[in-house]
Amino acid sequence: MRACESTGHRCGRRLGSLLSLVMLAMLFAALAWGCLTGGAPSSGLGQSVDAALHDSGVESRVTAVLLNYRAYDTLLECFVLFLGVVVVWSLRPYRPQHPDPPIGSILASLVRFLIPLMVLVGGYLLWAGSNQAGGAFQAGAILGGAGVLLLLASSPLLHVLPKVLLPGAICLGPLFFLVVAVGAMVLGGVFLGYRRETAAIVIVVLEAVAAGAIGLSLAALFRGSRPEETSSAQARTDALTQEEGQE
Amino acid sequence: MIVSAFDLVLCLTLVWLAWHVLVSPDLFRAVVLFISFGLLMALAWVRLLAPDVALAEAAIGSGLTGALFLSALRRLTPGRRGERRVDRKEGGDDEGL
Repeated sequence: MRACESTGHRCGRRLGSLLSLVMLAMLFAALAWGCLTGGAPSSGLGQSVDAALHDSGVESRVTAVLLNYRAYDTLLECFVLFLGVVVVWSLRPYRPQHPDPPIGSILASLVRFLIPLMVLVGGYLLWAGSNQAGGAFQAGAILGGAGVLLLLASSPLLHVLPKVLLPGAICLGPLFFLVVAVGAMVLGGVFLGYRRETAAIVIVVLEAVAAGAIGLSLAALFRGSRPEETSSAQARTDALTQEEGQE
Repeated sequence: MIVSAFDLVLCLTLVWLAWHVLVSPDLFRAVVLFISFGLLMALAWVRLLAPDVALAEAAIGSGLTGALFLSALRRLTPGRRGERRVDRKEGGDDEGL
């Protein structure tokens, strides 16, 4: 093992780290220079955003950009998250060798207190998104966090949504977004071009559906493989083990 | 432009945390440092007057990604000796199924 670390090898590595240090120093110098001289001149898009704000249906500039001017990006983001869930669900299910310890009473009561609060905060962020900081992704993340907490506590609330409906509920976000986008194209001629009168209500409904789907997707990503009925999953695992044994 | 002492400390802490996340040989420690990096990064976004990004960073970048990392750490096959795991056991083989 020592032989491969010849002098030339070590020299090259030292040269590499020296080079990255020099580049790092240059980057910091450029950043410091930018900070001290007031930064790059603004591209001027802020004024255009402000000028069109009262046509967008919302009062927050960020929400107007995310769900009206550049709604195309948000649509694709929803599909990226959906694809992530599809990929994770196609993985082999994980079975821990040692069962989890039983849920403590502190965690159980914490979940009882926190879950309603998290749903409330998620709903508030969704609503606040139209005129201040907040929006579908933030609300969805809070709901996803609530889902993670439920999963950690293996709460009976998890069975409120039947497992058969879970894929449909996760698909609903991107699909609804797509339906709105195509609907706007059919009615107004522009993909994702909402009408001025209906923009506000369309954006709020779209954000609510998207937040729900994002929350479910994030919780599903945390859980890992696709939830199945225990008996059928167990049967499949047994069949797999038998096949491997025969080979 | 006056850079306040708070911003300076915040920047230095962020760089220090990022460095230690990358070089830490203990994966559990790296995940915990990553979560604290995300929370301080959210603070930095607030200082940059971007509360939307700060909310998303705190909720997704720090909270959910941290939870995902911890759950992934638990599912990883045991690595080098002496490495801390979430379920506090060393050794033992994991065949996946």
